[in-house]
Amino acid sequence: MTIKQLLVEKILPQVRKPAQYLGTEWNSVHKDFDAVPARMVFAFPDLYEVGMSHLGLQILYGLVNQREDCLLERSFAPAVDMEAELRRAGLPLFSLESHRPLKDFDVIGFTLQYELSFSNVLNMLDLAGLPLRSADRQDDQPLVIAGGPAAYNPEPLAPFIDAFLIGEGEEALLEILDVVGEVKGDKGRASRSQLLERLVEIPGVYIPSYYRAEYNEQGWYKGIKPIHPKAPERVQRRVVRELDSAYFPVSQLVPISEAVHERGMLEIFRGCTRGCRFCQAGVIYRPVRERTPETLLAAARDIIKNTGFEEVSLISLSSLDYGALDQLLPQLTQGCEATRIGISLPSLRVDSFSVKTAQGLPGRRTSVTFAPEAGTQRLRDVINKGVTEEDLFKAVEAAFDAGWFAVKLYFMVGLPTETIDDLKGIADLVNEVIQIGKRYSRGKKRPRITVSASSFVPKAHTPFQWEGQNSRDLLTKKHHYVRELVKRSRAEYNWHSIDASFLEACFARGDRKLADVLEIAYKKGCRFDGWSEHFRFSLWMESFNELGIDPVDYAEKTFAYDEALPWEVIDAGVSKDFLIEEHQRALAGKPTPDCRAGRCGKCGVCPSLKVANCLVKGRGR
Amino acid sequence: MPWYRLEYTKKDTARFLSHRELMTTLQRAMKRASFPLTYSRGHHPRPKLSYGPPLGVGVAGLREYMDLELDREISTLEYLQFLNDQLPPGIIAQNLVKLDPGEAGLGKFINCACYRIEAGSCIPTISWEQLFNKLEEEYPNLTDGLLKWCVDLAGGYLEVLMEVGQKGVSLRTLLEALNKGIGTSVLLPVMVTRTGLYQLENGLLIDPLKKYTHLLEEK
Repeated sequence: MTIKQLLVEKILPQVRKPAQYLGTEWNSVHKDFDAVPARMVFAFPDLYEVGMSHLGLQILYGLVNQREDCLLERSFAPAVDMEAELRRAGLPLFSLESHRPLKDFDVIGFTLQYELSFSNVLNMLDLAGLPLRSADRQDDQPLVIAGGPAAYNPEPLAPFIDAFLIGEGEEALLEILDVVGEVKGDKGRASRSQLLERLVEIPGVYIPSYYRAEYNEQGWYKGIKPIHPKAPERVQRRVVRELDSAYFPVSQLVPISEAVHERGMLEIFRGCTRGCRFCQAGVIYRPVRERTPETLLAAARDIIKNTGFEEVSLISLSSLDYGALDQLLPQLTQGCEATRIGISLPSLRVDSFSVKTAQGLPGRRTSVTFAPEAGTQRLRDVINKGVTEEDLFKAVEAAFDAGWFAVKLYFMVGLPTETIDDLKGIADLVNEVIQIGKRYSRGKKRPRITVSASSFVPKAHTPFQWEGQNSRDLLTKKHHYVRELVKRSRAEYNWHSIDASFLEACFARGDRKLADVLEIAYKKGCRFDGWSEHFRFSLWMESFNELGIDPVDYAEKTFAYDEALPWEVIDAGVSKDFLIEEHQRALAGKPTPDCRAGRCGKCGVCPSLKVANCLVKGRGR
Repeated sequence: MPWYRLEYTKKDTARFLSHRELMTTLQRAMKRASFPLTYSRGHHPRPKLSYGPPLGVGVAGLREYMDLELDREISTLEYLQFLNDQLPPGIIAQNLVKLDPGEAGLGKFINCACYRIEAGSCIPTISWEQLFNKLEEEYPNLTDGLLKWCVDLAGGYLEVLMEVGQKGVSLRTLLEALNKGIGTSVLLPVMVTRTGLYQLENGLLIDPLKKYTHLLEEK
């Protein structure tokens, strides 16, 4: 029996949401596997419902499958019940399109969206029947590559991944697949070692086995040295210079099983230069590259026609910053209203303009989310979040005015320089929002305020990369303190798992030694660490203990400017001098303006990557 | 505005879709096929669609139905083709007919469903009749909602006609009882197919497209 027959007859009747394993989504591409030279599977180390909502998958899927000599299929982390069935039946992890074992592909490519999916990467390799470590895999086994934001500190995954692709994949992935096709030739399989010898020449490719990490006597990371003649000192990230002419998928996959977001995705621009100092995305996707309204309108039309989605989402890191909203929105709204398509914005900037703009868009909207991030002006200046109290109150008023009675506020606790006044400030802001809400109450209908607080996690390549995380005890106390103050005023207060944020901090700034911890934790049964129902912190702590590694040394470590950082082998384009200066300005509470307005903040991205902000102009500005 | 009734099949791998997944899939296929769907008024316009009784995950349906309101009259043959061009594997649009004004909606019309339960290679050692007698002790009301059953021992399947709605026994209870009655869990996974949905009135079975009428014989 083929995998597909076994699935249909024996396995799918036993698992929850079986439709996610069928591969029959509208716009899925089913090629003749044996007739295509370069075959890759896109491995998403989380559930179908998460992965199918991911724009990067849609882009690369369409891009690679456009090419006749390449094929890209999908595989998501199987849910826990499916994993058990696969293991019981002795079936390997398979791709959704052809239901082939992952082992049959030339390339297995993981996307690393967040650190807490790392254990799933190992699980998927194991389910594929591959040894976890590159060094233990046969030379003719598939090439295992990885990319995505969490690849900007690749070191904790170094022993498991053959090659990382740093930065945007539109150009670089095709270059990789070209090499795979060439090296493979008419042999059935490419030799991995030969492949790596060629891939090292592609800018943006980091091959961890070509480097040796060094530690001092105390076991602290000391630096990394290339041990292969062709390996560059540092690997510079890839960036697409001309986004407007770059490939964008309009025949997007339509989920057949429920996904977190089921909507057409219109990426209106990439990059954000607001410069929030905790934000990694703001660094690694610089500079801002906007698509023209003409390109976007044409793409929106095609997406709607090809997918049948009920909604189109304007995707970017800060969609209300788009320069030609006044050209894009009226026409898009007109087209969407005619076909009853809703338009959504993933997040709203904290101001009344945003709310009023969102209000004018067609579609179902009952709640609105704002992210002031910190409770006082002082701390918002430290993190360079250009939002004032007045902005927030006006935005909230506009939201209530629009009839959106569910307001969600995002804050971060444990930010550098935070004091008790800043925590009190969160409660004060929330209380004021509730007061405003009372004025807008209609009879029994009262605004519902939800406060969602995360714990600050220092991320590589940001101005806060040197800062240690608050201890778990302190974070717990802080969250409790704020919750008590907020509870009094009757708003819901939720916070993310502190243990999970702690683990995230370890891996976000970890070195290669954490690979051993990850492997042990995985073998003990850790999976889906980002899901509270599966997260087993005690197993992680056991794993650290067994290796004599104290996770606190990673999460809470404050680095000196002249200390070696494990992720410095990756060059994100932003200069170290800029990050230091930004860190200092943060400590001094000095904001740095957005370079969109024209004043260059000298972050170094444009000269080093030979790019520039690419802004479109609206009529009215 | 005119209402239309669609008859469709959900089979093969598509039987693993849940009711909700099927609804969205059909709705999106209709949008891609440019059906002039009528939308509700108000802030959150939704297409006016109404579905027959939901089909469980894993259960196939040979003749399933949905009603839809359209802004204008269409050529049903043409649009049936448009729709089939937009449907994923396993979902097949079979018929599309315009409803007469004032005709009862699916919810009102359908009151019974016919299922075929295939036990595959796990045919019980006792006959289905004996099995039902045995089950009557433990599930006294089991056959209340069962209007008719017929057994094809050679084919290893059981066909039941049961009432839809609160009165009847649920398919899940029936399967559970059968499983218990055989005293083994090997009956499952079985292949369950809903072969048709009907209105039973005065001993006559009428399908929602009114193509056939059967006289219902005794149990």
